[in-house]
Amino acid sequence: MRKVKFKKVKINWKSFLSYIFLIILSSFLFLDILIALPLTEKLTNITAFDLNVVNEFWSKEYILDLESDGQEDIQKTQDIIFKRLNLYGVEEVSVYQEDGNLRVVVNTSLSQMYVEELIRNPYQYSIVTRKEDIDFENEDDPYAQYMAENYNETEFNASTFRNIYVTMLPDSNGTDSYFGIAKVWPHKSKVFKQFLDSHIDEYIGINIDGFVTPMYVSDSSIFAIPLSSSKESIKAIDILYNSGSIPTPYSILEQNNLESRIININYIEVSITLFVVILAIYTYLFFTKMYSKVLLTNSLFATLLAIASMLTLLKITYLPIIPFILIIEAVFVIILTRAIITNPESRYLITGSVFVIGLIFKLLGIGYLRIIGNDLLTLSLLVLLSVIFTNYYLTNISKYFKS
Amino acid sequence: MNIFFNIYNGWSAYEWIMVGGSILSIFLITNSLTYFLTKNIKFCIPLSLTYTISILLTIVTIFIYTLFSSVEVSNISLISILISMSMITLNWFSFIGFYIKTKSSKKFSLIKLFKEYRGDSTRVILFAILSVLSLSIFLRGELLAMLISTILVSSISIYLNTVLVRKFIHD
Repeated sequence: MRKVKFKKVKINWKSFLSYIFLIILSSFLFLDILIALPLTEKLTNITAFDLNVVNEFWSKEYILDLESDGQEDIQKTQDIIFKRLNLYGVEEVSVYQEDGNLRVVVNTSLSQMYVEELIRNPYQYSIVTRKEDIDFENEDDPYAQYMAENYNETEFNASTFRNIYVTMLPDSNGTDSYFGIAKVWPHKSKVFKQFLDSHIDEYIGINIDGFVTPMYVSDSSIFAIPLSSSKESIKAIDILYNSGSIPTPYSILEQNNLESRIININYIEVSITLFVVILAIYTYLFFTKMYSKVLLTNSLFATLLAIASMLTLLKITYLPIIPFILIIEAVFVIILTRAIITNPESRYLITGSVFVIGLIFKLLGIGYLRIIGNDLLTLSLLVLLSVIFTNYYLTNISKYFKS
Repeated sequence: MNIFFNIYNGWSAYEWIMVGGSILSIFLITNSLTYFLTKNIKFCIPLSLTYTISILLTIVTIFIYTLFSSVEVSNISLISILISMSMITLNWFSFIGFYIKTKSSKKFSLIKLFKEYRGDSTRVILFAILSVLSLSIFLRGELLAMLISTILVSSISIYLNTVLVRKFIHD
């Protein structure tokens, strides 16, 4: 029998792998665009790729009656209430003084319950010890342990602590619960430790606005305040503990519902409009011959990819988005992509500077500035990646098509 | 919640510190980076002046709008400051990047650099105006006013920056 000889086939592995890689990239590209397109969630019921569009806002004004008339106390309370609402992410807040009272106006999409919690509670807290003549075990008076009048005040209050670090720790049942670890100022740590040592294996309490949370002291090296077990409320509690100590008690004198302000935009219409706008701009630029064809193609591709990736990311993460912010960010993405792609020598400088601006506004901004600042961090990186991807992809894919 | 009414009725110290701090931080960081990259303090002057002009122009634009329009201008208009500062910054660093790349070449000349910068700035302005104008057909009220004022302020500031660069940067 004759032996059949096969010709040795030489495979260019580098080229082959590069080809496979391009196919994978193309699949991701199509997937990205498909998810980003409006109403693609209708195509499959396996998973819903909806934008979490925030369309419902509520607005209310609160008039706070402060017990103190001192300008310094009013000013400090004004600052702290604004800080609380800003840290919580309330979109529009104004806190201003009016006839010795504070008028707080909010316009937001966030939970009314927690926003009101941040406004209503002065959250003045102090450490208290049990009065000896009170029977805390009395079954006829189950609320005795929660009443501030059943406790003695101590020298320790909000000014004793640097901050309250909120974290999850195992509780006495072994399940994880939220606790606030009190970080004591160095100059007060010795006295505070002595205080805890003197109350070891005893109940003390933390008095917040006249309501006491009992605490069992088992260890003097750590002071862990038991907090709510609800994940939703923990952000508000963290802010209440750590946004500063309000110097004077206050109560709500008046509260009125206001007409909420929201710029309503249909995101589907906007998505289609944006697509048409981008094509129109590039068609115009093509006829003006301001840019070379290659640069225009790359720029158009990168812009569409950046916007598609932005929408895909929003759909996958299901992060809430306010439609008019989406428009502002999309316009900025269009301008940023063009700037990066036409200035390759400044690519990292431009991205870095936009990233830093985003970071500054995320940390220091108020209201919408903070929200957009936060988004700019992701967007600047997304645009840079889109430009790098476009350059690589279009160069290689055209090479394969030519060969 | 008119923006001027809010400020007039007393922004809290916290608001002033946060907004002022953001603007000042951008001002300081971009100027420091410019000096670090160019080793020439003259480059910082046009940038600083441009930022100042853009903030003043934003305030004037919002003020004029509140005078002549029935639409209430709220805290949304503060976004204008962020966007125009970002646009000025990205245009500026494209200039600095180009300067760093070309300064050591034999054919380098400031006139060429300025010409290139003016051309690039014009393209940024044109692109930004085209983007907003084409979208503006579908927008109304405060958002439209905010976007138009932002692009107006950014375009004027970017153009003025090209003039200031010529004025302050010499051999």
